[in-house]
Amino acid sequence: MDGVTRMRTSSRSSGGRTSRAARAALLAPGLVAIGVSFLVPLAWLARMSLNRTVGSAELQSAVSPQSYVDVLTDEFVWKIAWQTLQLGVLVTVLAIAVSYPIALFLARTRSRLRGLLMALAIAPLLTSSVVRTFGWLTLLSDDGVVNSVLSGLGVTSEPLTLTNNRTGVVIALVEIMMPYAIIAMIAGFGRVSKDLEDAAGSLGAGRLRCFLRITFPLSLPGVLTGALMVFVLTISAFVTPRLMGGGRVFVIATEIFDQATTTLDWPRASALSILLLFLFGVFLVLYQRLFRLVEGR
Amino acid sequence: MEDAYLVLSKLTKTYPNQPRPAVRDVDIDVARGEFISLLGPSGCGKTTTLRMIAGLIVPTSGGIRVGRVDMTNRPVHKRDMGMVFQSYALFPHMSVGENVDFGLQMRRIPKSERRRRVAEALDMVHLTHLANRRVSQLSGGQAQRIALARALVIEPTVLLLDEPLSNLDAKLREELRVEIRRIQQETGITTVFVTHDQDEALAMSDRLVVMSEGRVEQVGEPWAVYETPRNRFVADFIGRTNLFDGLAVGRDDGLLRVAVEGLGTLSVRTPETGRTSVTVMVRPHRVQLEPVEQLANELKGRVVQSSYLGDVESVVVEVDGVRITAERTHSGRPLALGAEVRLGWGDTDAYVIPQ
Amino acid sequence: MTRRISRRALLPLLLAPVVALSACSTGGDSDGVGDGETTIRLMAYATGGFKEKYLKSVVEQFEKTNPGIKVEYDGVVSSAEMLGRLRTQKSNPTIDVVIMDLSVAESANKENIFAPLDPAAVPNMKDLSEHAKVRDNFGPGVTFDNLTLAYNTKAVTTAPTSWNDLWDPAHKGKVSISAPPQLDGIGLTVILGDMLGVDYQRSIDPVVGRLRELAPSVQTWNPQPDTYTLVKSGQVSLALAWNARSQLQRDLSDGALGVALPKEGSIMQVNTINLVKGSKRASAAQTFINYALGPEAQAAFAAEMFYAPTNTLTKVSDAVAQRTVMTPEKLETMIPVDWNWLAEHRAQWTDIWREDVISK
Ligand SMILES: Nc1ncnc2c1ncn2[C@@H]1O[C@H](COP(=O)(O)OP(=O)(O)OP(=O)(O)O)[C@@H](O)[C@H]1O
Ligand SMILES: [Mg+2]
Repeated sequence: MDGVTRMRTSSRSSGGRTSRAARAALLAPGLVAIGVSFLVPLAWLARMSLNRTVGSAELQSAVSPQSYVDVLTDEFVWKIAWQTLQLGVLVTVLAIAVSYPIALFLARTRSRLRGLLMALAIAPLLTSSVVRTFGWLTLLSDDGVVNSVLSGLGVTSEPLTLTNNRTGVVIALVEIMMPYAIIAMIAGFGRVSKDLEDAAGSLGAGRLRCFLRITFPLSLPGVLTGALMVFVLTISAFVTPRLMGGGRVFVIATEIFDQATTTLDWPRASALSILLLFLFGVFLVLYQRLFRLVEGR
Repeated sequence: MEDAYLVLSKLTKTYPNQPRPAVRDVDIDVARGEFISLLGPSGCGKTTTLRMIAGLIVPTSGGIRVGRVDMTNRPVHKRDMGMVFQSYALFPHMSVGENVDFGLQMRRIPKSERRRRVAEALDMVHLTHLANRRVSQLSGGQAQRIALARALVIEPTVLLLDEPLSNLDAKLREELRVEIRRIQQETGITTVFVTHDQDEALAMSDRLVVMSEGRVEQVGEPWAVYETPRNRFVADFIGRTNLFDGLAVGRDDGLLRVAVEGLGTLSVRTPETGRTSVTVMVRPHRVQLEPVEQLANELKGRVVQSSYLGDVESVVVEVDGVRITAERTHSGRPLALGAEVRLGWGDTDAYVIPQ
Repeated sequence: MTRRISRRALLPLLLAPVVALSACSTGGDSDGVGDGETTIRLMAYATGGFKEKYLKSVVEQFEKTNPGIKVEYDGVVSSAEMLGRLRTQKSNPTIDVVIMDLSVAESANKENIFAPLDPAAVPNMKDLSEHAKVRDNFGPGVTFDNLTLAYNTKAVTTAPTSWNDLWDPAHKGKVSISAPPQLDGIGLTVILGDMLGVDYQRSIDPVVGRLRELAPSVQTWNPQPDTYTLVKSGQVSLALAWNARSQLQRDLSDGALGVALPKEGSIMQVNTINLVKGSKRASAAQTFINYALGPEAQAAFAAEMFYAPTNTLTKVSDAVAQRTVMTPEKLETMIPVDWNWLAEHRAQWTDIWREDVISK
């Protein structure tokens, strides 16, 4: 006890220099980890993107913008980029729409079950998206649970094709993204408060108007954070479009994968990755702008 | 009360899974234009009571009436009551003006009238110049004035305030006390004010409601509650006090003689109580140290504690094992510990607590 | 404050996919030199039973007859991934011998990742089939495989006999085709070209037209987890598949999966066995390569895994021969493929498929 107190006093009294050194020491492992796990591969990627592929798949060392030119002038790349963004927007909108009420409930409930419900909501993160995608494959297949229920209820006469196409990818991605959306939104719901809603009520706002005028605007930072998270994870999602898409859903990530591992055009794959990263950057800036806007700062 | 405006009858609230009600059988009548304070220790049920009035908590049983209208089952947004929260609860995504405007918008009042009323409300709290400020750029005192303006601009039937001043520093608190009371008197609005600060309650209210453990202990004007507490709890809770338990040993000519261990027999002027075991209350400022005139009750003791508070000196004197607190208001050097002193009080300075 | 932290915490999450993409290329690099004896490292397929069967029928036998040499088997999922690993260790290779697809090996040959073999050290090279020989003594073919139809025997009771059976309306929505850039789809394009009488190096328009008619029948262009699992489970009825793995899966599934070689013939896929340039154990490596190309090893592996041998002197039982393309009649029907040309046009064909077949 005594020692602790003394240590605290000494570290406080020894002023700015030590504490800055201490801060640097504390930051160092993180910085090294980021450097090793991100910057080094990124540099490698940037370098690779300047190489050239000739003939079939022969990799030639070079410093050439060729792969960027190729990628940017390839109609198919623009097409899948567009499809990727569409998928991103669709999945984001749906995932946020489905997760919003859950997140709002979890953020506000004072129930003793809150911890349990919270755990339930994010438990899917404990399993890999591969496993969950295969789960959806079975559920949504022609003779899967969903189609059995639909035909059992007489809603459909023929099974709906819910796998091996875009529909399946969207369904699975929405579910896979929900825990992320929920976590991000709860973290961003800090300004939603019972007092404010009570105040609005006392001023004459009914439930709907209270939600529209108070709760929803105040939850926007959370919605935005959740949306960015889901969007970025979706446009970079590989597993689900690959496993669920039946070879019909082309997105940037599957294209990178094909280029890197099947066609073996590494410079092109790298150029695509760098462009994807650039896209992330654009959306990050956009997000920050919007965030400032909805926070009213 | 004949002209009761806000009436709480047998209001009771038991929270789910709680063994005991947080508020139990509360009966309070508030006259139109009256300012009453709910006062009591933490957890006694003040907020619960206030929120039931506002419609934010559904009572387990009992009723609420405003004028002739039964409010008990009316949802909060249809009650027309203004509420001010301890946290101010200003909408952070709106400007000051928009905050004040909100209640008017909800009432679908035409724009021109809204603009006029917002201006008036801001003027009332002297913050007209802040209309376009963001809420996050307000000081605590300003925020609280805006919260007040926002609650009043809708011209509510009742104004409810839940510890509105407790987040402010002492000086600002006193300033706002005066301000709130001024505005309340100007507008003539019926007001229920929750506080656990008795000075605040005593200074502002027309009447006090002292609560304890979910029950109303006493309702009355501040002086009456202070001077004639109904029971030991109220006596103890409101102001500092000396309480002596003793036996009524005799009575003559309106004077009750009470034998208190260590102090001998005290004389108190009091109406007949008919009880033998009684509690005598003497407020410290009624106890005179080194009295110059002859007093009905005179004692000798030794100073065991002295706190110099500036305007008064609080002195604890031990008389034969009994501690008595006195207040000295004259200026000068504080009394030395261990000093021998005389002390006393008149027979009208003490009060026999009825229960 | 909480908000700030949560926003900052977002960054690594955003970057995770990029890191994952960029970090997918690191190879092991333990040294294979033991005391007294030489250990060579062989990189070959990890999947579809290949590793297990090759270890059993070839590697173990080799080690018995060559006590001085140990072989360490490094299983890798695909030829492309093998090339990826080889690229990263080009300056200091830890792998000595690689078995991979011919078209990928061509790239490696050009990138100076592989070295030509010494005909004196690999005498078995001279007995190889014409289809197995590679220019300039670069790693030759070690196995032949061919495209077939795999079918679910419950759903398809009479064995298919023609590629045209893929178009049979009875299989609508129950067909699986691995589309390009996978070799399966590339191969099917060549086969259809042959059937329609067009030179695939000139134009594949008629083929595309035919494939477009197939598109509505196709359940998946990208079977997951793989073709054979889907056929066995009945999720699809009929699939474009490789002979060797189909034959193996037929046995493993007690006949739930059937294999049929259509009468129009097929194309052959060649796995080559290659010497890594800069290998410090080139001599032991070539000893192994020579053994792998020898009739004994070829026969043993063919019997286990139904890849056809590339060494013309190989003798296998009739039963085995019937289940590979070994028989002269079958070899006769094989359509010649210029894998080199195809490798260069793979991206183009992939685009055509995506634009004009899959998206329709
Ligand atoms: N939502 C709730 N669920 C259960 N018990 C509650 C709830 N809210 C309040 N209580 C309990 O009810 C009692 C009265 O609470 P209340 O908030 O009305 O007290 P208070 O007089 O306002 O106290 P304070 O001066 O501390 O604000 C307390 O014992 C409290 O613990
Ligand atoms: Mg309270």
